[in-house]
Amino acid sequence: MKNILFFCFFFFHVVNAQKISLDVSYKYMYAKQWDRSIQLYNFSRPWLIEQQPLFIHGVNAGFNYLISTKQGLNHGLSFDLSFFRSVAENKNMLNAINLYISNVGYFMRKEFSIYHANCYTEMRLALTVSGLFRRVNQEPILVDDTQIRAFGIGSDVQLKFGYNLLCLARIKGSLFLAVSYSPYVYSPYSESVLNQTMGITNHYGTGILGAQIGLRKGFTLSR
Amino acid sequence: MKRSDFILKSCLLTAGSILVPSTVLNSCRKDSFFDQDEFKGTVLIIGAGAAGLYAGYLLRSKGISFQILEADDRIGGRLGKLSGFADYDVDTGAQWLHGTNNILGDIILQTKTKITIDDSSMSYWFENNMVTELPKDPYIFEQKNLPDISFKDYAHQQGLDISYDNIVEAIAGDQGASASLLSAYWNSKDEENWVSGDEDYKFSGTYFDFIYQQFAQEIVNQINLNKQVVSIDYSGSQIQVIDQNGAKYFCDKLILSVPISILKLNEIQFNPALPATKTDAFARFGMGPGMKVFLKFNVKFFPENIYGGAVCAAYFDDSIGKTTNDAVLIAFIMGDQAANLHALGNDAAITNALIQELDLMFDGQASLYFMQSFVQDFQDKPFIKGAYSYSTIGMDNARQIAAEPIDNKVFFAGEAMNINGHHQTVHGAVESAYKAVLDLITSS
Repeated sequence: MKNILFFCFFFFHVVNAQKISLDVSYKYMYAKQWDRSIQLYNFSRPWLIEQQPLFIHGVNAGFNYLISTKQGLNHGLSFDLSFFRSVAENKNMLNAINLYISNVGYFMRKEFSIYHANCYTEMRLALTVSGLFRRVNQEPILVDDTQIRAFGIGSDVQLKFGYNLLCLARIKGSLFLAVSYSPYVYSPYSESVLNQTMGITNHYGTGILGAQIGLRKGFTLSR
Repeated sequence: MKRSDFILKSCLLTAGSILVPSTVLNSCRKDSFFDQDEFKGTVLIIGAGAAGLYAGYLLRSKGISFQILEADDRIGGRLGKLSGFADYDVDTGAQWLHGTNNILGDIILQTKTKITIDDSSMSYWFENNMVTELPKDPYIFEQKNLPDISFKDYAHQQGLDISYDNIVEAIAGDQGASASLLSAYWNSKDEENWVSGDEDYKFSGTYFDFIYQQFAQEIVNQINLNKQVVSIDYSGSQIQVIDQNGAKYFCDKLILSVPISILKLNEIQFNPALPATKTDAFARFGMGPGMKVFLKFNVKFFPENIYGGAVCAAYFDDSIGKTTNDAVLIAFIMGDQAANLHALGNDAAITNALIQELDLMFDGQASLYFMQSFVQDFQDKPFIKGAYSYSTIGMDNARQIAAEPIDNKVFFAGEAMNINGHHQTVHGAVESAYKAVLDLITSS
């Protein structure tokens, strides 16, 4: 406890300015084992006219708390939430699977100029949590009065590149691109949500590769 | 650099940054797991139970040529129906849908098939009295890390004395086994992967009709009845299958969906012989005698369900979930009790033994109101020889080993080959079938 208090004191001591920023982005995702479970679902149910789509396109919203230090090393804390949805409408059966992925992490930021344009790169290490929920005909699936869902936990590394747009200078806006990789998100019940089985795919988690493009709006908090 | 050049290059860089990763990622995510066009050969399916039928249905949907060889003169395996016995069609085989969070639940939803939850109440024949509550809870087998001893021994260890033996026998019977043979550990281990749901449902029609209408009727032309396979030669590039009449069939790949009892008894000769790990795995399976006896009465004098009989540990009211005026009680008999009744030698003697037990429970009302019976003895069925698979003491990973394909040519399906905790069920058999078809296609 003493060490934690010391760290907090040190951390905030070196701070001389605080910035927060909000991100909104489109996110492309590739999660191999979740793809596999959905593909297995489609493979095993040839009567489905509309097949269950994979989790590919989603949206992401993020919040960053940036701390500029005296030494010029920028770093901070970040939180984001991504949402993906897979919906297939077949006769008498609207099957919707919602996927939420959230990251809470620490990032370092470097600002620089390229041809007079102000750019920045960020590297973030984060804890990842995920939640998969299935609804059929707008109702959550209940098995023995318990909703079928699967939570997961893992880690994530993200690299972000952004540049401050001149046209958005007044609102401190920037355009960014990011790639992220979660080596393994442990989610043992994901197959039960995606394919109503456990153990056929023989995987209890997945790696996740992501790519994002979005806009950031910054704010400065004066002290 | 001019501002216009910078803007142009920035735009190109941005576009490239989006397109290149997207293209790379998309190339990774093609349907690489299930390249369904690769396999162009022919498939033979041995057995027209739920697994064999679903495998055929799936192969047909993928455009793959196949034939089904069925030893019996009918399809369905351990699914069956009996018309005319009561004012509704009776399920002579599997009759409960165990949970709806499974592939069959999806079909039911889509087709709006009528099912009813079976939440019937339980009574217990305990110390010569019919009671609705027991002094001790006998449902103690769903915990984790139980010892690898029998249900019966574990029950005794937990303080359920011999007066509970027949109730424990009924609980084990639900798993298709005698309480003295079913492993507390491996059974609970199997249950860990059960995600289908604990509620039981009954069809307003029959389970057999549901399976037939939903997928069997589409492939009836590919089913060859009365073809008992006696040997499988998978030594060459083509697999050669021989039936009881010496007729030969050839295929590129084979799905074997016969009951595990047939494999345990080596009723099919393999060339080359199956690996010892495989035969050892088959040997570790349990599949014992099983019997369903339908008893029709002209008055309903019995409660919905009864556990604890010494002749038959479990009786169920068959009218639950049916539109009927008839009073039909099912005697659901597994393991040692089924073997004892089988030993009586004929249906009349079996019925008589059950009526005597019911007379004891209900002050002679059974023989007073008895009308007729129908005995379905699965031990008597030459191509089934038992009820369904269960996990024995020392079972370990036998199910996983048994279900593994051989040389990417011979694939296994059926309830016993379900490796995801849904064995002993029809939906488990269906899952094993699509797993076998998937393995078959992707192993090309």
